[in-house]
Amino acid sequence: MSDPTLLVLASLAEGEKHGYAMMEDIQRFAAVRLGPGTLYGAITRLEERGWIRPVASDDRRQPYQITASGKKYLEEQVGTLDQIVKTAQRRLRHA
Amino acid sequence: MKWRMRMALWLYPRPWRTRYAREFTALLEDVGAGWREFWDVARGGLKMRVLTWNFASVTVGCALLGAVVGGGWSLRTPDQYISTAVIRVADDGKAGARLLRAQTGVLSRPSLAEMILSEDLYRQERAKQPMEQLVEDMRNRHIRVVPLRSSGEGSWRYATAMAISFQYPDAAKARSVTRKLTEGFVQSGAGVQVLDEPSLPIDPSSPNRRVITLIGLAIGLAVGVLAVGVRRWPIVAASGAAAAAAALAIAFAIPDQFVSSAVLKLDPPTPGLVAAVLDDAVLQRIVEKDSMQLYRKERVTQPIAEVVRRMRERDLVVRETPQGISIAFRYVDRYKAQAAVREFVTTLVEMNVVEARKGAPRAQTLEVIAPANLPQAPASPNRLAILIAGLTAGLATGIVVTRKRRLRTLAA
Repeated sequence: MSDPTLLVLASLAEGEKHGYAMMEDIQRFAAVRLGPGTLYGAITRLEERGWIRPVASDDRRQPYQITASGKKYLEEQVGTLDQIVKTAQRRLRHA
Repeated sequence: MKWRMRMALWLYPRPWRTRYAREFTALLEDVGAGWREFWDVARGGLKMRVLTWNFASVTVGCALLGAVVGGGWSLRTPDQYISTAVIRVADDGKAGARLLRAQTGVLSRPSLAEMILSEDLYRQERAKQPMEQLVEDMRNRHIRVVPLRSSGEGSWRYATAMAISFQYPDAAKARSVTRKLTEGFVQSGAGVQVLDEPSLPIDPSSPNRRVITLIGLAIGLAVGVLAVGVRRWPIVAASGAAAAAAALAIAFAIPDQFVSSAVLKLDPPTPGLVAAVLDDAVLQRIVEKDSMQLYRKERVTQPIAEVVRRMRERDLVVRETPQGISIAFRYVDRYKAQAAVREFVTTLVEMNVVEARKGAPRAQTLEVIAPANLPQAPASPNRLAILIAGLTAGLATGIVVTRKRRLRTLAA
């Protein structure tokens, strides 16, 4: 799974992070290295949809947190992915 | 931050930079400014521009890009120079025929091949293509022999002068070859005089860089409108694209049709002779001739009489004019189209002799004014017209569907 928006939401589900921390976290749990342009494209889309919001901070490195609607969207997507994974695993066992 | 990363950052729209530049710059300092990061940032910036641009910005941007691409391409295309000479013969009623005979010799394969080698023409092409192809290209595309009108009548019959021109990327060689062609006519014994010596072209005749740039601009504008259309009116864009693709497939499925024609003078006019050439038996002989074998597929499924009837009604045009007759034949193979017209001309000449022996009315003078030409480009189908018609129909359908959906949504 390499969709940047889901990766960012999954990273922020653990707690608020700034951009570099998200990149490092995503690299660890998904083995995907998002470029800075790709990351901020996803952050822009997520913020526009209200699924993440910036956290007040004086640091230039702006942290973000996931919103309630963002959590709900992430749960829906994870549920769908889980269904897909289970179906694939079952079929591979019987193949 | 490195200069290239600043440039990539500038690709992002101003509102975005106002909102995110500070934190984005901090991220870039953490990540580093390698080439991989540069391409990722540049791609992100371009994508952001396209997604946030308004209609005018996208279309103007694409139009400018098209103009730049068109202008760049025209600069890469080499200049072409045309040298022209004018010759004439005395008007004794047979000038046109003499000029035609002289032209056949001057533009023959041995003559042109000798010119190509002695003038060192088409050096790069000579390494890749056979001499026959180069001679064919030189004769059909780069040499122009145009009869000039004398007393208001056109065509070779009344021509007493003609212009000879040759096109080449080197102006000096263009003139040198034109001089050789002119000398060939003079030495042919047709009584040719040179009216205007071969010119040394100063300015290139092509490419027309302004026109090419404008075409690039127009194409860019069309692409820009399409790009915005895809986002804003996806049904219209999809419908237009699908209809255009279908029209293009249909256009290329239709086989090319080439038309070859010849012009003959019959004096006095002999309609009976022309009608005899269009007889079923004569057409059938031409269709079934071993070297012709016309309408092979149709002859398998249809009787020969039907094939001949369709040939006469659909593909063969014989027109009588005050000066004589013109014979035009349309076929999918341009060489066979030319060969068929030659057969008609030969048959006409032979029948004239046969009629003379029988004492029947015949033409006292039967002269080939313009021999059967080898068509270079197909006469049909007009693929551009088919594409435009399909695209227009698709766009119109898409607009109607989008409008109906919108009205339905508003009503709901």
